Amino acid sequence: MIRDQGSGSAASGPAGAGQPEGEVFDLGYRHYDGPRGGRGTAFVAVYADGLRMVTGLGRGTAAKIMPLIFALLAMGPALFIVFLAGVITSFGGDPDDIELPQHHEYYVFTFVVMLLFAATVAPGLLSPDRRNSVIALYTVRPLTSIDYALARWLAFFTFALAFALIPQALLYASFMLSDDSPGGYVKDNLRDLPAIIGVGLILAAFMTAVAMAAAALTTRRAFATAGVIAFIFITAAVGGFGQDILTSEEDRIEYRRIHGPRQGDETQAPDGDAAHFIHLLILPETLGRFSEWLFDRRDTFPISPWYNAATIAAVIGGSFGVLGFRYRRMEA
Amino acid sequence: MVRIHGMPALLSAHNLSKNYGEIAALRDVTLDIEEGTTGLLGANGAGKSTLMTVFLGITKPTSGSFTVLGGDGSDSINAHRLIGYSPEYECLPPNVSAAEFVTHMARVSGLPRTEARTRATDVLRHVGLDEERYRPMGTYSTGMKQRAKLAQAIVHDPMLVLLDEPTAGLDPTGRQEMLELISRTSREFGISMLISSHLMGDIERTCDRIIVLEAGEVLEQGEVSGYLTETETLVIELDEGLEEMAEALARKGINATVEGRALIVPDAAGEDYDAIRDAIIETGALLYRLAPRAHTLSDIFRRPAA
Repeated sequence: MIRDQGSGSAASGPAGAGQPEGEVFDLGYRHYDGPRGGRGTAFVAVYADGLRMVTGLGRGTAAKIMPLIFALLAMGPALFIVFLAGVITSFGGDPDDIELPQHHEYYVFTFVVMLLFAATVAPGLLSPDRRNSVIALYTVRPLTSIDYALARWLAFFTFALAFALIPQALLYASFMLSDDSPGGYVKDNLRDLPAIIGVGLILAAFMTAVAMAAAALTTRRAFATAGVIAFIFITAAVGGFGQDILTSEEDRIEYRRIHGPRQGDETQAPDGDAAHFIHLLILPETLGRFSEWLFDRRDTFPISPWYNAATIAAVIGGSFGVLGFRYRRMEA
Repeated sequence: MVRIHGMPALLSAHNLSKNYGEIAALRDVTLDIEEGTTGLLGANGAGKSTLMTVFLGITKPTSGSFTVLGGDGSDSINAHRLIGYSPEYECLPPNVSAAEFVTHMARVSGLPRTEARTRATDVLRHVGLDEERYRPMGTYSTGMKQRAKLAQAIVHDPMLVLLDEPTAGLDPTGRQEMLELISRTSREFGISMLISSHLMGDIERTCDRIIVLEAGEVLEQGEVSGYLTETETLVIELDEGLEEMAEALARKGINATVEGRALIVPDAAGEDYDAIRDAIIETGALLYRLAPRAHTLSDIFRRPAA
């Protein structure tokens, strides 16, 4: 007998006397009567697919190599520091005796790895879908093109955040456990935890924003990668060139007379001078000053440290503007 | 058009126009797409794809209104759960397998994870990509890509599927197979379809109803069977001696014209058949075929516009 479980053809045949009756299931085409999710389900599906794209799951081997290399680069040094602190402690030494990189210093290293990771991997979440016109298939599903872009954005942001925070968590655990009094370490470094999370969030959002905006502007991954690097370097060049123009030799002499060499003040212009504002365009340094501010590693700033935060917010906001402009409506 | 079971039209357009600058892609289009299979016939640039993308919410109309599955077309995001679409152009990621992609598209259409995977496997088997489903789609032939596009369009068991030129780029055999697959999917599974094509044969073979577009305007619409019904015109196909036969018919008062290898007798009445039989005997012509001529969709284009 053939049992029909759908609208496929069904037939039955006589079973021979004394012969066991076999069953053949003709599944045919089955209609789906189960639950259908809406916009939320579609958003989560695109987000989850984005996570798979970042890791290269479901893609070829080559797609898995790049994220693996960056994961090793981001985590490797932290693991080495943990190992080193563990060895020193096990031999009765104090890890503080050698100058191990602190949280804000490790973020400087993370910045470089994250920038390269974002520039090379993030465009793969947006550019190829436009290049191959896959985006048309998303826009006829129960989600908007903005939903699609945001889900992809969040997928990369998740990994960027992991790249920022996991090594920091390892460092924090290592420093705490190798301290004579772990409880005392936490109490003495209360500012560290919110600063680690705050800088991690901002760094991840900044990298994701810049890379996804570049990816939204082109259908070619390589152009997006070049665009991210170019954005960082060109803004830095404008910032550097601008500050040189705005800082006179008299300013520098006067500055050195008053302050002497002051850490982190590359412009050597009087406090509040326009040169410091144009200097904000050197984004890696702006992020660095923002990190120092949150970690409370610097006493004085030539202009309010809020300007650093505002610059980063402007870059992130601007990139959302680009994303919104490019994905507000996908005309075929 | 006849509405089945009193259901509202699946898609409905009211005075829909779309302009791209100076160019009018759609001009005041008013039509209903009912249950069943509807063919959208027209030459390249007639506005077929534009009409489809307007219904899908991809293209915003310049003026007019439309409904999708009975709801306001300008806010049809929920209706998209029950709609499938296969565009004319390539739209498949080359580095992803069909199994992975079709499963993902089912998820994006709102199906739970396990059901999405099961249905993707079933649908890929249905379109004939069972063996190839784990291969990256970039390695597929044009025919396989068209099948994968159909699979992603039906994986979530939609009420309505819009297929834009589903036989584009296929050789005659591939085209025939694809048309059979579309017919089977529509008729056996009860999925309504809107199929666009510039090939009349595609529409004749797969559709119940037809809408003819020309320069963004609806030229004709109706049941395909209405265009294919037999006429009063007789076709007489002979081996040779067409002129001789025409003269013999003329002597009996029947006006016949030569068209290719056949004689065409318009408005043939009952007694004309006897006269034709006698003329064949007189001339000793070798008769291949004597039959009423059916309309073809190409007649629509031969007809002067109303």
